[in-house]
Amino acid sequence: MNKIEFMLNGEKIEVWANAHKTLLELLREDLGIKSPKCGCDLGDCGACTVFLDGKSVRSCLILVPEVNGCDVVTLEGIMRPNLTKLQQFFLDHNSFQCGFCAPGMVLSATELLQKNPTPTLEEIKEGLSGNLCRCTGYTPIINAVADAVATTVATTINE
Amino acid sequence: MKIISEITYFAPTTIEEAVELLQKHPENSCLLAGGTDVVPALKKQVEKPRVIIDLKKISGRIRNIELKTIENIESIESIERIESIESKNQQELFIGTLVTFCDLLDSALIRENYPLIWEMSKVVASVGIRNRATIVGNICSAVPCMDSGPVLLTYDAKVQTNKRIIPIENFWIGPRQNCLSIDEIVLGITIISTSPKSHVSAGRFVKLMRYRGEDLAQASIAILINSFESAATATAEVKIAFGAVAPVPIRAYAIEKIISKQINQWDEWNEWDQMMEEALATIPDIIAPISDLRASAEYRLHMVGVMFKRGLKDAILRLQGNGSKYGSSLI
Ligand SMILES: Cc1cc2nc3c(=O)[nH]c(=O)nc-3n(C[C@@H](O)[C@@H](O)[C@H](O)COP(=O)(O)OP(=O)(O)OC[C@H]3O[C@@H](n4cnc5c(N)ncnc54)[C@H](O)[C@@H]3O)c2cc1C
Ligand code: FES
Ligand code: FES
Repeated sequence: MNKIEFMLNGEKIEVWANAHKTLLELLREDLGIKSPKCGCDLGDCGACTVFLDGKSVRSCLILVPEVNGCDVVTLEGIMRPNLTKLQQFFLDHNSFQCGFCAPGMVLSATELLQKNPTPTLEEIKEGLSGNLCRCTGYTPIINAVADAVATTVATTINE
Repeated sequence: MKIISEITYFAPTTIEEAVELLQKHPENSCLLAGGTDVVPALKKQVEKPRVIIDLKKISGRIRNIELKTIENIESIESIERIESIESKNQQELFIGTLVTFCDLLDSALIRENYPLIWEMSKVVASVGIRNRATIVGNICSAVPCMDSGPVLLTYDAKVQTNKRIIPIENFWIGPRQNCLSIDEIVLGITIISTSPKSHVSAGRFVKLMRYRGEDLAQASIAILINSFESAATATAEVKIAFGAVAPVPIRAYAIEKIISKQINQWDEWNEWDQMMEEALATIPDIIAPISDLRASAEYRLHMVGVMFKRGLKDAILRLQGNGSKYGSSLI
């Protein structure tokens, strides 16, 4: 067992865990953080996405001891206490059906807009790629992000 | 898929400590960088190491992307290399072992000076993987379809370890096999080139995938043209390499010879068809594609020709200043 300390959604966490446990397993099974989902468990689908030191990563590919001393933020952490503005766009566009892919999509889109507030459609698609959605065909998801970009650009121009 | 075997995890803070750990556990240890290959291998039990040695807590140069003019380089190995280079007008790029594909994409230095590395990094997996996956881990895994291989071949990259400097061409010895010894750790990748002032350079990386977005290469090709202009003449060298169509990424010397000869007496596009015919005829002797779940050998062979033709054309246009934007897709 390894003793691991890290920040989770702004709180200091101390756990003892086996080195062969993944961050995804720790979050879901031991800490009750359920936004990251287990889709493929091999890095392919993006459902397990969390932020690690500010960057989106696949928590199914991270061993718990690797996060020692790091800062982990999940969807629960970015939406305290309410939906983010970007999430509101997803809601308005009915972007999700079952919602399994939503945490990964929201975090990926959040990271994209932090890095590049005015992405082109092509850049939005690239930023979201690697997040698989089995329900929607992606259109309402991409539209939500495009709308968020257009609206933000429009309001900053109007201000 | 859970990892079922127990492992012991170490996070050394220096390279020396990491080497010691490798020596202490020669049989069953495994280095860990971004883990995007290691963790799936642990889950699928392809690898059953008992000891994982995480390199990410090591600080220093292995985290950096550095560009130096050759005069500033002090280490003994580098001095040996300087002697073999005629011109002083050289620069050395160093990409440390912990540099991820995202770091490469975010680096203005890479984007401006080594656009092929940038163009290649852009099509590796997706952001969530690129935030973790290192280019050094990519070459160490030595999977034949690795994206970085062909590009590093065209730049004549070298792999610097704690023991020696290995030309990238000698680094891979077979599918999933590199030439590192049991207690050898890669510190970084170096690329020596003449400084941009003395030549213009352009290239093209083309990756064939089943769909756009996250997928491994069915075939890939990197083309780099360096054109040196002196008062009297202009000379160009062309470097070409293929990925995913042989046991390891390979340079296509036979094609390079044909194209270099032609390109130095470039008469606009008049000779194009004839040059292509000659070059395409050599491809089957250079590559040895296999059929697997991503593509058949026949499809790979055919598409390599198509990618080569379009890629070279775009590389030449880029050299002339009117090619496509780096990062745009060609197929
Ligand atoms: C969903 C998914 C999609 C992918 N898509 C692509 C793709 O499109 N193109 C592509 O090329 N690759 C792709 N990959 C593979 C790619 O992520 C890896 O090859 C990655 O670059 C390896 O780097 P890493 O830092 O994760 O290495 P790790 O997994 O940590 O290590 C890889 C190997 O290198 C060894 N190693 C690491 N560092 C050193 C060192 N300093 N010295 C000696 N040995 C070392 C390790 O022991 C291990 O054997 C994909 C992977 C996943 C999971
Ligand atoms: S569950 Fe981690 S990427 Fe699919
Ligand atoms: S909404 Fe069901 S997977 Fe995307």
